[in-house]
Amino acid sequence: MKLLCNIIILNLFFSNLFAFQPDSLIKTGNNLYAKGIYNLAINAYEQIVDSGYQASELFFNLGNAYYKSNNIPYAILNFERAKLLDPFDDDIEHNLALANAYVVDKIDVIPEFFLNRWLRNFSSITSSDIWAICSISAFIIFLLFFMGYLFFYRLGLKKVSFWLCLLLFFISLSSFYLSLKRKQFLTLNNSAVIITPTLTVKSSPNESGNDLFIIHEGTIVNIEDTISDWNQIKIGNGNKGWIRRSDLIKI
Amino acid sequence: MNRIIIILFVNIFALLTNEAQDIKFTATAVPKVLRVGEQFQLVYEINKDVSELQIPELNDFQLLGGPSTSSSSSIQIINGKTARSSKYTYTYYLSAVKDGIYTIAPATAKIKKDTYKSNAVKIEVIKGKSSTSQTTPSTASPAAKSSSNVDTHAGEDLFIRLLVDKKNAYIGEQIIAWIKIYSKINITQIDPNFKAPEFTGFYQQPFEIPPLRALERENVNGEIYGTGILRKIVLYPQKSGEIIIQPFDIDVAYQKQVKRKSRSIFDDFFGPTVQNVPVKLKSKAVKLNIKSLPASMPSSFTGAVGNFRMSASINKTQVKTNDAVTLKVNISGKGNIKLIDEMEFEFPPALETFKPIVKTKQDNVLEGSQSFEYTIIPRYAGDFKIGPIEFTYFNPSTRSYKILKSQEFNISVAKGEEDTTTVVISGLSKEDVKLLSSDIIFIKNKPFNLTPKNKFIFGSTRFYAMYLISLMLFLLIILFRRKRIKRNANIKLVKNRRANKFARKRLKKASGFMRQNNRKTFYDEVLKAMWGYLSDKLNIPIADLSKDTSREALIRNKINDNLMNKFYDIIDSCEYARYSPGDESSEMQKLYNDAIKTIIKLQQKLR
Repeated sequence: MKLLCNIIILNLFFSNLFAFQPDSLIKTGNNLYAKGIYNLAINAYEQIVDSGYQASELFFNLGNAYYKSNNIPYAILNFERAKLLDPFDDDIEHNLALANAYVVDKIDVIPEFFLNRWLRNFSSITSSDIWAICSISAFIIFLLFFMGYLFFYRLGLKKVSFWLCLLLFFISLSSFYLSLKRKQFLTLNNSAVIITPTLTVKSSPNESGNDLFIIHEGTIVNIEDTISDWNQIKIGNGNKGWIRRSDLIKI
Repeated sequence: MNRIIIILFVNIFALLTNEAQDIKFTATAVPKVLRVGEQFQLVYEINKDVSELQIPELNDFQLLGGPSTSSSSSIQIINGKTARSSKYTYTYYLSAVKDGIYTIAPATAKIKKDTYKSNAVKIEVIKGKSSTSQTTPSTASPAAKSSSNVDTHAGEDLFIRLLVDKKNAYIGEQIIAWIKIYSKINITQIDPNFKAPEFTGFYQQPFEIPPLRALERENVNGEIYGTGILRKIVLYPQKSGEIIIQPFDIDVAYQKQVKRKSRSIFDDFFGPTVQNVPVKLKSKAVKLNIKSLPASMPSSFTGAVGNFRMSASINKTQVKTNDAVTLKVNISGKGNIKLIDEMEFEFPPALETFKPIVKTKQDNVLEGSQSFEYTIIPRYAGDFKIGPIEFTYFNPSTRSYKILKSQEFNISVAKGEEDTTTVVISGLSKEDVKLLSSDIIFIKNKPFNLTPKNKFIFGSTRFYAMYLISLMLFLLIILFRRKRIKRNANIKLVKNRRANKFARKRLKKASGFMRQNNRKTFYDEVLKAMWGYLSDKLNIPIADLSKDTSREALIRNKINDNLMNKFYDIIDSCEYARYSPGDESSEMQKLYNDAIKTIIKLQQKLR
């Protein structure tokens, strides 16, 4: 019975493999997760990711599946990715905190400059696309009011449309900036998760470099520079060093 | 009535059992170890008169005498109850012929019609020494063979040993150690308070043994020694590794024959003169190898090593809130029972539990039982499950951990009556939700939208095109409007500018008609000039132009009534003259001049 069930699941799984449909793959993944077959659920989710799609929920589910199969660094990686897309989700925050409890390294993180943090949080209210649409529509309305300012003969109407036009211009400009920032936060994100269980950080981008410090899997670092196969990283407390590219995965 | 019958029955039964007391039939050999040619006694004891005693064939021994019989009886009265006991002894005197280990088969005794069997007796006979011929029984002093050089032979003839039942043991495993004295000579005194070795690294528990009265004979490497156990101890190792038990001393005194210088017949008569000689005996060090317990320890292991049984019971399963329930866990068996820690169980959190009352019962030094009494007070109503209670011990003989499990206990707790009364005063007590364990939040199962990765509206050409298109549209609208305004403005201006010109042209034309004396066309032409001028100047199409509309426009342009009236007078007179014949040319000339004058005046006003 169980074998039959497994065959059905596998068939379902492979039929989806051939007729690629992200939505049904999500469903398959969720069902596999609910049954506790985490490695197959990971397979299903990873396929969606590999085919170039993303969603905070997808990364969240994938992170959960990794967590359940005790792969903490990948769980953290996916939770971080989900958090990047949806920074205000409590569930993601909760699971990420649980996964982080397994991380060996305790690094005192230097807090981000508050303006930067505000900007990041504010730009994260909605997606870059929404900001862009917001900017365009504000610009169009701004132009309409500008026309109104130009064409109205009555002084009161002229005044009102002038101020509105100024306001909308400002809105358009700021949402343009926020859209840009949001995009930058997503694309120019340099943080990465260490996946090697124990890793010695070198002082120069080769094996002969001095050993600077040791970090462990699941720790989040910032990539500062890249030379061929080596990445210069910076950890939360400001220490820098070089490690191989294969030791980390970018968020 | 029933009860009386039962009591009677019990009494009768007790009497019967009293009568049919157990038959004890034992055989003993004194001594058990002897040399060839030595004499020994075979003693049969029975507590009932025997009608016939049949002893086994004793072919290996020489029967010297016996049986000599003796009997004794005693009557005890305790609390009105009489207990009668009697003893019949049959003693055979035998002597050993050949060395070897012999087993004397059980003897049979016939009492009335029942036959009883005694135990078998083992006798060890060793080769006699040619130099000494001991014919005296063990009670006699072995010092007879000793000579003056006893002191030097003290190590051989008199020594002490610490013996253990095993040299390899696990931590917590029972090791029995005893201190034994071996002697060939007559010991007169052993220091009863000698200092036993310090068994460091062990938990020790002494056996209670009766004080040493007589030495028992034992064959040690072909020599007969009188031996006695001075002390017997159970040791429980507490740490692993090689542990050496250090030597210890004991003070002993033995009898030594003293030769007198003058030998009189009295000396022989009184026997040899003896002297007590004190000597210090030293034991050898004993090395023990203690192994630590295997690492695969179950979590419920609390240090018990040995062989145990567990029983658990609960005194009630149906209770009301705040009634105490007692859970008793009893562990019994052979092993380090005293060293078992109290077991920690997970009770349901709604039950209040206290530290258990621990009771240790020692059956003997090696065995015992330990009971843990847990008092449980259920504070809330409901059904609770306790257990199964687990107890783990290490069995050194199988070298494995063994887990004992009790059954589950279900307690159903009903709401107590006093609850309501107390609640009224204290108010409802609220509790925090107890977090049992933390786990990740389950996956998001609601359908969600997937978006292509790294595709943004921002930065795309579409995005910038939107700005550009809207800006261009805006500019186009502005431009278009500008143009139209300009064009409109031009038409007006041109018309305005050309109004005078057109008017003059028409009037010139009219003057031409005047000279030709074509009256009708002259007036038409003047009218056209006048209306046309107004139309151009006031920007009112000719079709819409009437006296009323033009008057309004003129008033708006702040033309005074005088000029207006003059203007309309000319128009009126023109229209009038058109249809009235016979007018002079001077009239025409005057109107013509007036028209020119009015237009010039209007031209000045309507800029």
